This record gives sequence, structure tokens and C-alpha cells, in this order.
Amino acid sequence: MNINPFHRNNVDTINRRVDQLTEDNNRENVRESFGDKISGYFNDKITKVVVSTYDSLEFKFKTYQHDKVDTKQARMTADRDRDQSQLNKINERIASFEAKIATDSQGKRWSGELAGARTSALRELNDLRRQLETRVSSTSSEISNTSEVRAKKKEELQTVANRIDSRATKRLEPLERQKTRLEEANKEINTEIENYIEQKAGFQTERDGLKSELDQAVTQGERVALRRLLGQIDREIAGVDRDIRGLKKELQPITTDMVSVQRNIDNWKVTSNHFVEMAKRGSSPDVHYNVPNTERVENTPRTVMENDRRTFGGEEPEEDISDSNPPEHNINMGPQMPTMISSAFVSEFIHEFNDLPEGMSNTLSPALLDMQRELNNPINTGHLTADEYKALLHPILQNYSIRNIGAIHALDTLVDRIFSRI
Amino acid sequence: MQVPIQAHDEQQDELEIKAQDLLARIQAARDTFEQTTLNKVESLTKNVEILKEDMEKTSDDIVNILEEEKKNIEAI
Repeated sequence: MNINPFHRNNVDTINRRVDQLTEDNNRENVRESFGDKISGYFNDKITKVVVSTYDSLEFKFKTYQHDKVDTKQARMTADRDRDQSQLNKINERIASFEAKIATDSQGKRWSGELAGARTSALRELNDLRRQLETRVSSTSSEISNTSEVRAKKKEELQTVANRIDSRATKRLEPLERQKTRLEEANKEINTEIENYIEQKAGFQTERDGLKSELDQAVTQGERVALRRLLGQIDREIAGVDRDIRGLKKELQPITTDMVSVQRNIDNWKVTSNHFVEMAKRGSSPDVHYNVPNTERVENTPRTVMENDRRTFGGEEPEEDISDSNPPEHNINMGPQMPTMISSAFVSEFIHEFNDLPEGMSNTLSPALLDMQRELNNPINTGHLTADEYKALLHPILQNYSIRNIGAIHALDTLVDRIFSRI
Repeated sequence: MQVPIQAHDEQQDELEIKAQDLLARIQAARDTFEQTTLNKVESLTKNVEILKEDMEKTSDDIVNILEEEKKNIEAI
């Protein structure tokens, strides 16, 4: 299957855009969700610091959850692509050299040199391939090490998150004690007010009793003198009312302030608890970070095909089992086999390929055209050993993310079968 | 029915004493309230002001903690 370079570029562009949107969306989601949770807790300046710290922590957790591995894998892929590019350049140089020799009138005299040059170039190619394999293996090992590093980093982040909570809580403690003392004082005052109100009620009852007795007094003179006293009592009782109203008025802002302080303490507690919760989530192996509903397009020809199928319709392929095994595998160089001409090999290769079990054929088929192209490459039209054919074909499988050890083994067996027959 | 003059005087004295006593107790209660409760409210008001300032300081301290720990986070 020939993958249109324009299509590849489009896939790359789409993937970069999807990555960017995913990243933006993730950060935005985190900010929104956390920002919403602490909305109205603090002033803008404090909110900014809190959200920023939370973002940093979440971003770091996320980084050590996924990104480091992605970066490693991306680097590994870049290394491999760079090596592949070097190989292609060598192929071009050799092809150019061959073309020049072929047109030379002294071609026959040069043909021996050409064979030597070709052998040398092939050796170089194989050396580079081995280097490539070593590098891939080394990077795989690095990824494994990265897992340990990530676990350690996540533990450190968890420690920081918990420490934020414990430090904030510790800092709030004296304030809480101070507030508790004031609450008790406030309570005491309220009790005194209640008592005062009860006292006032008692005074009022007594006053009403006096008034009743006064009303029973007969002479005007008696009434005047006592009424003056009663007037004084009424004014004092009204004074008590004013005292209570005044005091309640004074207590109102105090109560408001106390509630405000309590709310502030609670807000800080809730906020710092978010850091603890994040530490719990962040240290979990299956943490999910507001992953938006965006699907990254895998930059493999197979996915390109599948995308085309989705777009234009077509038959559903069988389940891809190519990724069901770890990427590490060893190319078995095996004992040296006799060499054979590529043209004969290619026809046998197609024949054998068609005889593969359907599942295996489906797994390998995305890489078939590239394998054919590589086998038809002028550089490979000479005499190659079975191991050289295997070394030639394995990177193509990797290019198509076909890492199933069974598929690789089937391909090796296919090559060996051809060599054993011819 | 006519009440005797002596009885009137006694009743008047008794009422006056009761009224003066009530007046005195109300005034005493107000004084006590002013001297104790109002003082407590005044003190509480001052302490709440201090509490609010401490709350500000606490918030500033926690912000400093966050900024400090953010640097630690970024260094990881």
C-alpha cells in the first residue's frame, strides 16, 4: 500500500493539532473545574496563586503519568527515522553508483568492483540496522527505567501535595484557636444579653404591677407623685431596650466578621484538601485527567487506511493483533543461508504470502507493498542471504507498527521456506 | 367607700418605696450591663479586628507556602 506523502503530512498536521487541542483542553478543563470549585473563595491575587500551583502540580502528575513515555517513544521513533533516512541515502548513493557503472563502456571490468562496493555497502547497511536495533532496545530499556523514575517523581509530588495541606492546616491552627476563643466570648456576651432581656421583662412586670396599684390610688396628689416615679421607671426600661438594640447593632459586624473568618478558614481547608485529593488521584496508576473526547490519529499507514475506510466505507478488517506483544524482539541472524536472486525471491515471496493463514496475512498485509517495493529496489536485485532478507524486511514491519512476534516469526519462516525450496 | 387618711399614707409610702426600689435596680442593672457586657463587646470588637488582620497574615503565609511549594513542584 503506497501511502501518499501528502496524506502522511495531513495526518501529521492533524495529529499535531489534536495534540495541541488536547493539551489546551486538558489545561482549560483542569483550570475550569478547579477554578469553579474554589470560585469566590479568595481574591483574584490569591486565586491566581492557588490555581497556578494546582495547575503545576496536576501538570506534573500528568507529565509523569504519560508524557515522559510519549517523549521517549517519540525520541525513539525520531532516532529510528533518522537511521532510516541514513539508510535511504546510502541506498541512493549505491543506486547512483550502479547506474554509472552500468552505462560505463568498461562495465565488465568494473563489475567486480561494483560487487565489492555493493557488499561493502550492504555490510554498512546491516551495521546500521544493527545499531538501529541496539538503539531501539536501549531506548526500550530507558522507557522501563523511566517508569521507575516516574513512580519516584509521582511520590515526590504526592509528598509536596500533602505537605501543602499539612503546612496550610498547621498555619490555620492558631487562627482557629484564636477564633474559638472569640466565639466563646461572643457566646458569653449573648448569654448576658439574654439575661439582660429577662431582667428587663422582670422589670416590666414589676412596673406594670406598680401601675395597677397606682390606678387604684384615690387622690390626685398621690397619683402625680407616683406617676413621676413610674415615668422614670419607663424611661429606664426604654433605656434597657436601647442598650440591647445598641449592643446587637455592635455585635452584628462582629458576627459578620467571625463568619467571614470562619468561611476563609474553611475555604483554605477545602482548597488544601483538593491538593491531597489530587495527590491521591495523581499517584493512582490509572489516573484520568479530564481527557477530552478527542481521538488522536495514529500516524501509521494502517490507520490511514482505516481512516479512509471510515470516510469512504469499506469492509471492516479483522482484529489487529499486531500490538498484542511487546515491541522487543531479536532478529535471529541464524546460520548463514545460501544466497538467491531477488526477482526469484519476490515471486516466491508473493506466492508464500498468499498461502499464509488469513489472520497472519491480514496482520502483515499493510506492509506488503512496501516489502515488495523494497525487494524490487535495485540495491536488492543481487544475491542476498536469507538473513539479509529478514534484516531488510523487519524494519518495514516496524514502520507499520507490526510488532507481533508471531507475525515476525511467520515472515522469517516464509523467507526460510523459500530458501529451503529453491 | 371612703379610705382612711392613715391607710392612704401607708399605701403611698409602700408604692413609692417599691417604685424607687425598682428604679434603683433597673439603673444598677444598666450600670452593670454597661460596665461588663459593653466592655466585653468593645474588647471582642478589638479582638475580631486583630483576628481579621491575622486572617490576612495567615492567607499571605499560605500563599507564600503555595509559591514556595510551586517552585518545589516545578523542580521535580
